Amino acid sequence: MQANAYPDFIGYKYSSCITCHYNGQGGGALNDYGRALFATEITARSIYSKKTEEDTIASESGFLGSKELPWWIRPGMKYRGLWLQNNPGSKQSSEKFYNMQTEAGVTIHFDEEQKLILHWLQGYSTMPRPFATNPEEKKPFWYNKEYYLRWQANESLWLYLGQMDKAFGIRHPDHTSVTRYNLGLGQFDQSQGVIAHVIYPTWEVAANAFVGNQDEEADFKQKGFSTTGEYEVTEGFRIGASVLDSKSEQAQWQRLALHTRKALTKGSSVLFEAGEYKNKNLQIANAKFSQSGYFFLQNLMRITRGYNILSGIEYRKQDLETDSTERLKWSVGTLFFPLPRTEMRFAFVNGKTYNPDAATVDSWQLQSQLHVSW
Amino acid sequence: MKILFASSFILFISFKSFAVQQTFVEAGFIQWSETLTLQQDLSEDKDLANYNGVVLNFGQVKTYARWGWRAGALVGSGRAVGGGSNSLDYLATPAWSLYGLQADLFRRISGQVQLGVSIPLVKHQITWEKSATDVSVKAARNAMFGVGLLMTWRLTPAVELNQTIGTYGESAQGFWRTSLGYRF
Repeated sequence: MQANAYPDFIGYKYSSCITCHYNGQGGGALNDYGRALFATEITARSIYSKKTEEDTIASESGFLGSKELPWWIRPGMKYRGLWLQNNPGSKQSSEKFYNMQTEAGVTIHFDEEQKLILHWLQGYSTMPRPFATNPEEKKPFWYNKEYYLRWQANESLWLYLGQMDKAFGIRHPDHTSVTRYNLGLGQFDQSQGVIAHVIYPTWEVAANAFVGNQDEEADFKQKGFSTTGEYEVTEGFRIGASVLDSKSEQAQWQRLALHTRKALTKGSSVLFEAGEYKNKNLQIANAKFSQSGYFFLQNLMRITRGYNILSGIEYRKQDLETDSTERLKWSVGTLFFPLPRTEMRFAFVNGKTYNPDAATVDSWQLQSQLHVSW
Repeated sequence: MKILFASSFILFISFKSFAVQQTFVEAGFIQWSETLTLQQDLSEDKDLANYNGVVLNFGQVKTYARWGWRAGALVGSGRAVGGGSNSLDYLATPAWSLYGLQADLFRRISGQVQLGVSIPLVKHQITWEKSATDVSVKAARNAMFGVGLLMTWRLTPAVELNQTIGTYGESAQGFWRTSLGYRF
């Protein structure tokens, strides 16, 4: 089963992503424990009778249901579709449907303790990559999203080699959010490199050296490093910081972020990240860094098992040094897991722009997502 | 009759025992928009004003086992951007202030999460100066009545994060408030 990272699940007191994901930074394939937990804690049990034990539900969460696969192989698949309507109810209303994510992958365990694993994930996209430069690249395409070898060197240290998401900030599924898209950590921004991830019960640190995505043209490959860490102040309350510095022939990037995750009553949580990102165009002589700032706030409110309200606020200021445009986005909606392996989202998204040169009309969007992971 | 009296008494006692009344203060950001009517000689045009600022709320909160209410006084100030997209060539960025009252009714989803309705009644003060080209502004009414969805996450027993999204009277645009509150 593939799944994006849900850092909100600190609300279930699962602080570290390695509990459920093969990738200790979160995102990507779930391990057996993660599959079982998804089925028995996150997902509604409406299709099961009251007599069905949670252990039975957990045992049916494998790729082939309750039929066990050999210990050394764990395949997975995932689909995510998005229907959206811009400015609903107005004359400018428009609708669009995106096949956002179609992925299939496999994880191979080289030993039963899973100290050494190989993970590979193939994606199919109908959306153009941000770095596509010719029309051919804008057609639907298959691509190697991520592939890595993970070696657990000792009880606290995991090493990764391959193409992965960069280690930075709060990793969550919304690839269009300011914390991902604007920072160059979006849907197609995985990078080849190595990660050393140290995890202790109350703190963790990941250091990442990277050299760019395999499909990017050489001039655009960002080469550099990033580091992210979290410290558990009290159970279910973590604070963290991240830095990133990288450079290609085209541009230099610097990012800095602080974040916190706080569990509330079971299943409910608050996430917050604030930071700045600087970009310098290296194709222009004596160009200066542009300095932008942002924050991201996301709240998960568990109503009952499988049914949640999700609310998020994003803020971005393009140039911190001038009286530049400020953009805000607020989404309020539902996050449901009504059936095993199924996620449904509905959201109203309201965009506000504070532009010192002109008042701006709000944007409204109605979004509906179906997400199936196997 | 005795049973009814006893039941009512038990209910009253249980309500009393669950009810907690506290004072709260919260500070946060507010954004909303409203329509401006621009006038120059006999010409008239519509445009928009975006308001952005900070707001303080101070009052009482009473929490029962499953629900609760809040009532508070609001004060705020900030800056607005008006015009910029009209045929009459008007753009101004005046300061604004507001004061008013707010009543909230909420359901306690759990000990730390609340979902409810917020009803602010506010009056804002703003002066839209005439432009150099003699364009004047007829703003929306200063008194505004709103309805919003209120979501509260109690980070600790004393500190909470509140978010409200809704609409204000004449404005077709939404208003937002995000604030941190403290109960004592």
